[in-house]
Amino acid sequence: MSPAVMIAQDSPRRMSAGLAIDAVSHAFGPEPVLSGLSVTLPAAQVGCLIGPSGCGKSTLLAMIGGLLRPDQGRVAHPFARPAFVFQDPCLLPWRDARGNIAFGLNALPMSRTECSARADRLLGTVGLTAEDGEKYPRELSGGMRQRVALARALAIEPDLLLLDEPFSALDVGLRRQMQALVRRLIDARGLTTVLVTHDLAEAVRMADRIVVLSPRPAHVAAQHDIGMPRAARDDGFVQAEVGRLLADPATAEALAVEGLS
Amino acid sequence: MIPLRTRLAQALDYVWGGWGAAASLLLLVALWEAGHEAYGTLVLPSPRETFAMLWRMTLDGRVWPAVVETGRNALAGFLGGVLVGGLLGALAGLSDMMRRLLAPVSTLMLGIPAIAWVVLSLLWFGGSGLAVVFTVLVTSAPVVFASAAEGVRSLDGALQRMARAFRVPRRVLVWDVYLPHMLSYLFPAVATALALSWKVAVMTELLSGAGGIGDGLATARVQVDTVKAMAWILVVVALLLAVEYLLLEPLRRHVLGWRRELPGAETRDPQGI
Amino acid sequence: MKPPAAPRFGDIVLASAFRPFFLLVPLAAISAVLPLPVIWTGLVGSGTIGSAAWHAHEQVFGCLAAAMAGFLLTALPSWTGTPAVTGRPLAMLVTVWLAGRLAFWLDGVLPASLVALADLAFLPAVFGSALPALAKAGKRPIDLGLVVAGLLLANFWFHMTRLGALPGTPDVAVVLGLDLLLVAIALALGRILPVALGAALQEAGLRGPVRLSPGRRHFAAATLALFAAADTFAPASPVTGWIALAAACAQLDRIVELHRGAALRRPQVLLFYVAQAFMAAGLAGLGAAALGACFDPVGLRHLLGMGAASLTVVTVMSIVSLRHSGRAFPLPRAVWIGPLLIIAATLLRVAVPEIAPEAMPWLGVALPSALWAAGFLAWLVVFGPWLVTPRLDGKPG
Repeated sequence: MSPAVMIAQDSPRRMSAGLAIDAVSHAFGPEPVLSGLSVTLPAAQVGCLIGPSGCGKSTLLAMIGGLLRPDQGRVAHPFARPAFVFQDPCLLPWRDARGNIAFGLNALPMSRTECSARADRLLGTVGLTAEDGEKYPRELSGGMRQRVALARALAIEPDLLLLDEPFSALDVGLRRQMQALVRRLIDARGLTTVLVTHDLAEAVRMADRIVVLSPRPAHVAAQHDIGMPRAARDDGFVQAEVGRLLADPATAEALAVEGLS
Repeated sequence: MIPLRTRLAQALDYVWGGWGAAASLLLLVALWEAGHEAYGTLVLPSPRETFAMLWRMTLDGRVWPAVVETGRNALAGFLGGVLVGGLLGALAGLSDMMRRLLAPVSTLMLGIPAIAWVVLSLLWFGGSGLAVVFTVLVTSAPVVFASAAEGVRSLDGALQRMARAFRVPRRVLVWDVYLPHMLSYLFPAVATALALSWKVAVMTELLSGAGGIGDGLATARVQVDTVKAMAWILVVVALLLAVEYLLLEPLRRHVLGWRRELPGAETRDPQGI
Repeated sequence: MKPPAAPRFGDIVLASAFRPFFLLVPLAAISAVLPLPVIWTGLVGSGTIGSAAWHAHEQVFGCLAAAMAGFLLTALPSWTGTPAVTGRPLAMLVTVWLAGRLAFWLDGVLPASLVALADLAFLPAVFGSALPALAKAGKRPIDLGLVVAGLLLANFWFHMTRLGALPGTPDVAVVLGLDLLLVAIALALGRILPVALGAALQEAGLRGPVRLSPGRRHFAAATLALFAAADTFAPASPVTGWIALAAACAQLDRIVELHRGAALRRPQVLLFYVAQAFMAAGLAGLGAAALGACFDPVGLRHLLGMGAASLTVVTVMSIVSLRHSGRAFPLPRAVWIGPLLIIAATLLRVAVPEIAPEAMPWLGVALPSALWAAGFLAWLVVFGPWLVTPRLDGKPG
């Protein structure tokens, strides 16, 4: 376990300054999406929203990021600078990788040289070379594009990282690689993170707190905390833990809709 | 930012690429010369005769005014066409009602051959420059319409959501997201329309006697002067090549540089996302 | 201890085709210009073949053909992994080539048919030796094989016109030979340039891949092949003129790929660059002449033969001698001497008839011949020792 996470968990003051979602309901037109949903997440922890597809996970994430206001209820957190990574990398095709990484910096008061220096640094952080930095998205592989999207999110030095199924378009090997990378970066920076996924094994590998959502309209079906430090979770632990979670009837029922593999 | 040295090197590489184009064109001239040797001057004057005639005509001051006149007409019609097609296309992209109203009309206009427009515009405007401008406008507008509509329609997508998520200022949204997106749709259509406008302008001039290069061609035909006719054709071709290689292609490289293809890269999709 | 050294020398020289042939190329180059000053300064009358045709034939089918044989019989086996021609068969090949040169020197003494027979044996022998590699090579070096076959036919034509068995003149046949050699150069450069440019980029401390587009190479070679055909069937026609101009442009188009900053200043790139520029200039001049400009076509042919072909050949010989004697880049600094002398000879040979035709015998023939001979001698002094000593890395060849 990295020291940052330990301190955060041990400090009650930091824990109180986390994310609080309080009795949130929302509807798109006549159709209710979220109904009375409440979740909390201490700062510097990784929360994982898992549930059947179309249950409103991404809607909730948009609310946390401030892109959407809930019809009822309250989303509160002290974070000023949320950053998103989407399932689709959403890179600007007309900017090279370096330009894409620096894109979010446009919102910050920063000089050009600072921007490009930071973009250069982040290329290395996510495991890309300076040469990759000059490539356009269409010249990058799927995994590299997602790395660029991750670097773009980290570039604005966010205090809240919102990951919307960022690995689900990648094949298994790449997904594991990216999970390990994100895990390392989160731990190193002590970033509060919300990860949306529909893969329970991924949730177990990444999260401190797993929030299982019910099918539409979504409410919290179950909640699990995982105490084991992230770096120490090996394949055996993940397998055992997935089994343990599925033994919980509420969790199993909420996720059964998808037919978990 | 790209350093000046790199830019200069790129510019040199581009200009140097002219040798390749020149080689291809010179082979065509060789074929032309062979045709001349086989069929004689009356059918196909030799390249050298034609170049000499072109030179004489230029010295006589006949070429430049004609180029200016054709250029003015073609450009006016082209700009009008881009404006009309672009605006109506944007409307159709913004509103589904307008799309339902305009799309079939645009398809119909696209299907009418340019020569039919020439006849109509001659009847309506007589042998004036206005006939040329109108014909060019009405043939180039539908070309721009479709891509403008598609560009505007696909503006509000994943990229916009991403840009909002990063809370970039409006200036950046317009400059870095909307503008390149629209250009990637509009540029190919506008380039096609520009190339088309020259050809249509010359054709209309030829049939209307409204002056310009087309008029010169018509006169050469009446006088059965093949050398002069070929010289005028050379003028048209030279203008087309100049517009393509000195204006459109450098612009294309600048604007659509991100589309550069790798060997074995996947087939292009207009959005790239 | 002396006696064992002699057979060992033979073994070394016959270990790979480039060794004996590259040793002989400078001698052939020099011997092909030896009679020129004597003839041009009017000291002695010309031989029976016509001095121009004799000289051109010896340069193209004597000197350049030997260089090509050395290159092909070394390079083709290493590209295709087929066994190389060495030892006794190689000695036979060299003997056949020497017989051809001897016959040409004794032309007038020997009957014309015997000269033809001796000279015509070499290229088929080269072709036959290259056949196993060509057969195995799949598509790629086949084009080079076709050019060798074309050269062979051109030489055959040369002798048949002289014997009166085929229409045409020896001059046209030898010009076809030179044109075909240019095609061969355009093709072979596609193989050599990546190596040369890669090494040059490294020496210049530049990064980035070697990008040489096959399209540009094929375009350059195809226009040259078209020019060779047009030049043979319609030598003075304006159609040929336009094709020559097109071929010139295609060569210029190609060398943009060598514009790589400091890498362009390395000898293994700059010498090819200059040779390509000479080729473009020669072709453009020939084209302009066919279209009515007042240039001396013979001078322009020298621009192609000396400036383009020989300069390329000397550079290729330098690189092949370096690599196949087990050495690594960079080339020694002395590599510049030979090419610079040859460039000076070329410029004089081409410029003097245009500027001062009356000074032709001394300034346009004798002095260039001397510079040319000095250039090849310089090459032999620099690279000769590598050809007669074993490979540095102990591998065969």
